[in-house]
Amino acid sequence: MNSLFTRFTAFDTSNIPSSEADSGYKPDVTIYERKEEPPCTVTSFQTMEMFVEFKHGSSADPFATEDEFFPKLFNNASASRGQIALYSTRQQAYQFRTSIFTVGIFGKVARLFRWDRTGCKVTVPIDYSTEKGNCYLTEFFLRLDRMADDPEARGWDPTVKDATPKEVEDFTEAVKAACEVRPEPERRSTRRQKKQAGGGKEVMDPMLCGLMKSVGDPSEYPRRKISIPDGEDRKDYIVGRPTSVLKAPTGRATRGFVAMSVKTKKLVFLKDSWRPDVEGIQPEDHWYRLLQNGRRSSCVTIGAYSHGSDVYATRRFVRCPDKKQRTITHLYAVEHGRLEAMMGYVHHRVVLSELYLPLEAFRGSKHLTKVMHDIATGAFPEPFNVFSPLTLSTAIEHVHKVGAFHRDLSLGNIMIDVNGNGRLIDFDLARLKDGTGARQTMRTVGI
Amino acid sequence: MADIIITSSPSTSLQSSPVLESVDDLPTSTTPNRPPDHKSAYLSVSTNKPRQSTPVRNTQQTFTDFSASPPPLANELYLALDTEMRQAFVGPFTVETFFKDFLPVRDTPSPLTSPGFTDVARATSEKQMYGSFVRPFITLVFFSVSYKKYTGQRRELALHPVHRLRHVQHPI
Repeated sequence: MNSLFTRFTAFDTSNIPSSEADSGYKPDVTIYERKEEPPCTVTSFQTMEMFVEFKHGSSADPFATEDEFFPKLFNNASASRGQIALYSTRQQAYQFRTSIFTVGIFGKVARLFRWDRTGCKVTVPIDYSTEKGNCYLTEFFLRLDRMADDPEARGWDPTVKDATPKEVEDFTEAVKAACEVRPEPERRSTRRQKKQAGGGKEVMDPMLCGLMKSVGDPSEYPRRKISIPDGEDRKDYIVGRPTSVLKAPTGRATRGFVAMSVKTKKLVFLKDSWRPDVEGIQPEDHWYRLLQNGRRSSCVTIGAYSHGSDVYATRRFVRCPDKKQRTITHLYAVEHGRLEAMMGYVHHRVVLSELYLPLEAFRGSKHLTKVMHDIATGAFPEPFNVFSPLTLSTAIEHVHKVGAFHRDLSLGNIMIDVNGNGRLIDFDLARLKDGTGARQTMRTVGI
Repeated sequence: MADIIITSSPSTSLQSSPVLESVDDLPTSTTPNRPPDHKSAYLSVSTNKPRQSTPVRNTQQTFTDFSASPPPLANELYLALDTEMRQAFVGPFTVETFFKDFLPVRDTPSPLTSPGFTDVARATSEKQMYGSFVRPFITLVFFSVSYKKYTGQRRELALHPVHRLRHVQHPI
């Protein structure tokens, strides 16, 4: 007897939590594409096609649709939506997706969800206990089955592929080599380093020692190859674990990666995010070009820009004016009577030509203070500026000099380069001082 | 000191810090001994009306990475995430529109001949729903005859999911 669906299979994973280190969650049912033999039978946010969440009971539906569509405000309805949002976050954090589907089974009704980085589209309740409703729910999976050979239409990013074994090996070697960089005698800054050096022991840079751990284990974070346009050319990069974990299913989804250029085998920093699609807000590569002003790097405390671009799909999808990977939920919002503005996003990637580490890799308190000074001291009024004004121009001062505001100064946007300098990145929200241009909606720092 | 804290010129103000509307809004902790005549000094700096910035929003994305608190319990996390996400749900879409826009296929799947998911609706508990739901996805084969023949163990005639057969050394 053959199964109804030939290309996908489903498993009850309600008692088999995800093995991913920072997860441990277990959606009720997980659906996988039949690619591997034997198929994965545990929860894996890395490889799942989608998850199905169940709630038993006649009033389990967390949305009301009788008169108008709105999320119910009872605690259990709120928790149901939150749970779906959490699993959706995990799935998007571990995968490279432009959108994902989710099914919610709430008592005798089902709802279909489609997430992108702007929001989530929800269907009417489908009463699958009736013949018509059952047909709808089955048709959803049959359509998914028919789209098995078109992963892009199911929301998989076509610019990301699995790395070949040779590329994985090269990446591991490159990271290992970077970990073993020994600091020059004059750069032995920590007490421990000086003590070890005095005792004739091998001195490793504590900042770089953790690099291998930060790119993650290949079994947990399979190495992927990301293709990014550079003018007429395309460049490929191998990545492992992102430096930050997504915490929400919508928004900019900024993920930084320690990446290896396939061509040069050099380690660089790659940033993948969804930039606000608002007229008057410039893409991040615009700001890097402005800050560098034609030079390779105009300031040692700003990220050294290499190249960047919006990410393109292979064809135009519904409601998209061009081939760029875009969110579309906001385009449906007005039709569904939404008065609050929703913001669209465009997928954008930027490559910085050097290896950067997250701020938490700092060597010690003195180093942390130096990094913060490299970035921000110039931004604070004088009484708080405890450092000498004779030091080099800080990152913030440099941004102000070109007539702009960074507007998103946070710990996640301060990186450390291999020489221990602070580097300011993430110019997604930057704007010119004159304040012209559109205001971003859904932002806390919109002016 | 006060005039430095409340600089409202666009070129020097911190955009993410709350902008103070009046002198009364001054945080007392930062100006403990501010003399009354300092008021005029403060106002002289604020020649332009301060721009109103929106309040800081501590979302899961911006807050939890830098929090020293223990991780929240699952239910607390669900509720917090829903509070953030409640406005992100758009609908309701008719199923036809949903299929047409997001799941377009050249030939529409043929009319249903199997029971599909009707068993799920009859389940009396959530746990039962999972089993009924996954059934249409699993390839079922008659297995017990060969099982008995080659292992000598008694087993009722039953349908078994194909993936479970992998655990048995099958001689065929």
